[in-house]
Amino acid sequence: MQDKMVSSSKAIENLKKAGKSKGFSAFTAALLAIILGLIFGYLIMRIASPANSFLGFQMLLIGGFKRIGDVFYFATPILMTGLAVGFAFKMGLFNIGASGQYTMGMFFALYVGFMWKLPDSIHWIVCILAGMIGGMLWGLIPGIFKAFLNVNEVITSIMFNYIGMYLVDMLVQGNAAMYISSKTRTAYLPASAQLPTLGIPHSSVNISIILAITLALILFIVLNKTTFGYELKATGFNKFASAYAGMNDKRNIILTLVIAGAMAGLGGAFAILAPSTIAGSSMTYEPVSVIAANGFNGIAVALLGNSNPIGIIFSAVFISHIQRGGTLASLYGYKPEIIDVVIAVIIYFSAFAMLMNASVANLIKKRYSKKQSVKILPADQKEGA
Amino acid sequence: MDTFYYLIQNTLPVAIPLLLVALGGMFSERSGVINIALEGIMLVGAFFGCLFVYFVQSSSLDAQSILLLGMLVAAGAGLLYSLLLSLAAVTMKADQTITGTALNMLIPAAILLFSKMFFNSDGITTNKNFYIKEVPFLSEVPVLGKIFFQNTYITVYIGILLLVLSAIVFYKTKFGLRLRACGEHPHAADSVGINVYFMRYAGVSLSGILGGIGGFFYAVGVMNGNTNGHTGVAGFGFLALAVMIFGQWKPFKILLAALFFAFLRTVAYSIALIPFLDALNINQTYYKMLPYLATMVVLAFTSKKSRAPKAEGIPYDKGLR
Repeated sequence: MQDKMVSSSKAIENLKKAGKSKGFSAFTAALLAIILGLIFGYLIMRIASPANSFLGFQMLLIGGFKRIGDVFYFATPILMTGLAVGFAFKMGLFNIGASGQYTMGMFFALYVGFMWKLPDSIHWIVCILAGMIGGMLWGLIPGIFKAFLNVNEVITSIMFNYIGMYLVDMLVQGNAAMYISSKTRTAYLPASAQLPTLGIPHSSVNISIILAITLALILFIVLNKTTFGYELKATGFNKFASAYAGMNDKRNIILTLVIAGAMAGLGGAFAILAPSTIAGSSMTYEPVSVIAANGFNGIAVALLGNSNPIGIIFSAVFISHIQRGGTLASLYGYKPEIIDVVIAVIIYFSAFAMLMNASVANLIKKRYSKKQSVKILPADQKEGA
Repeated sequence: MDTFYYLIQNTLPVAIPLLLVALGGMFSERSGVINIALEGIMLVGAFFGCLFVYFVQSSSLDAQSILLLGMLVAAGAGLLYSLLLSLAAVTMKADQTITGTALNMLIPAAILLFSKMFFNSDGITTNKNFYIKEVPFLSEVPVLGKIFFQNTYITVYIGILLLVLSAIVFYKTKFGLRLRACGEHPHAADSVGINVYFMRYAGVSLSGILGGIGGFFYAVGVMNGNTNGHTGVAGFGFLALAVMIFGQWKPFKILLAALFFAFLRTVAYSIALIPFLDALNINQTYYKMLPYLATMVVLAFTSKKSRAPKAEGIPYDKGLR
């Protein structure tokens, strides 16, 4: 009896400790934001078409499990753009330019895929590296502007989203080997440029998801176990203090944005180099003058994952999961745009979820401690008697 | 000379949305709240303004009164939407940039959803013509008549009126002074009895009103009375932020900056009409990139001595010192 009491009190102690830890509160905050976002989504479905709302919402929640391969396939690019945003966040930089970096990465990968003749075994690897360089380039520019000219990185990267988009559309349309103007899309990539598939039937899931998760783990180690990572976080907390401590903030700003750009660029390369489920075809790009949505979804992924690379892995898979569910909900007549609304609402709430979370936790704690004191007292009295 | 008049006549309807939205951004930022949601607020204004026009376009009202009423609707919608930003950023002390980004992401998706459900399209298409061929009498005035009173929109006059009003409110009223104090040193402002939260709500709300009107004027003057969720307002909200920075957070400098950007954009879209540029035979996409590239160049030269409000972006917390 007493043993049980001790162990349970220990468990409560542990729980309290876990509850106080930063990672745990970030997790519950994300959970709170997700729940609020989903409730909002359900209400919209309810208003749009009450009859099917329950089935539709159920599909939205669990539909992803029916397309598990696709969930991971679509999670890959947003995992990468999520890392691009989250990594820069750690330094207090808001990399809203992941879209432009993503687009540039995609273009560089496409270019190498079409224009360079390389042995089959290394062609796709070179394509990926080219994509990385494209993204780095588009991260370098806002970095230089921020470090040396004091231009806010948000404005720079937004401008370079547009410049990148127009530039890529123009370069693609001007290249006869890449572009089929009658179909207003790029031609099919040669098979040697496509990534090796993981062999799940009816799905394009490929080796890139493994690469993406590996990269997330590497970034986690860089952030938490290296001097560079420490300096980066220190600059994020207080740039004056870290400059005073002798950290080179200019170099760190540029390096951070270059690494972030590399991640987003890889995301673009992974997306366009993915193998198609139909033999003899490939992914294609349509130059339609629209900013790549995956860049902005990366912001959602990063926020939901609290900018922690490990958290970002899970949030990318989660967002991809409800996106698949949202696509399947169209079976019940719902528009897939509902998911975009839900994601935006989740970000909105996650911006102040930590605060909300704290107040909810306080409320629960008050209730809980009241109840406990009421319950425990008679128990003690019993034992004493 | 005709080309010159053509460019000016087309520049003004483009400059006015930029001007109004940048003025909105100025009110918000000088009160201490970074308003990156201007893009979304514009789109809200454009959407609800166009929705209003869509419903009344078959009635007997004449085009200019519809435009004025639509403007009020857009202002109201922008105001309501901006309250979401103040709620999160002022009351809940959330990160202002993140909240703004969420609001920017929400509205295109919501518009696409709504339009697909009820109109089976990507946006709203109206068929009311707001264009003014020429204003009677005034268009006869030499030079000025051609610049301001031919081939134009009523939005140009409203925009200039709002600029003057904004400048008066900003510099000549107690309210304006207090607002600016909250953006520079909120604790000092608080210590002399100014309600910082209220002033910040006011700043963001003004930016909501001006942003909403600017969005509707964009839909009228640039998009011919249409709006859609895919292209939205084509980054005009972000350009307006750049205009505001270029204008150093001051009303009349913002006007000049807005004219500069609008002129570049107009040139980019009318290359075929300018003989010497057409003869160069440069891919038109370069010109489309021009406003964005120019923004970067301008910011590179002006940001070093930036006069940004000191307290912008920092949630006000009474307990901190």
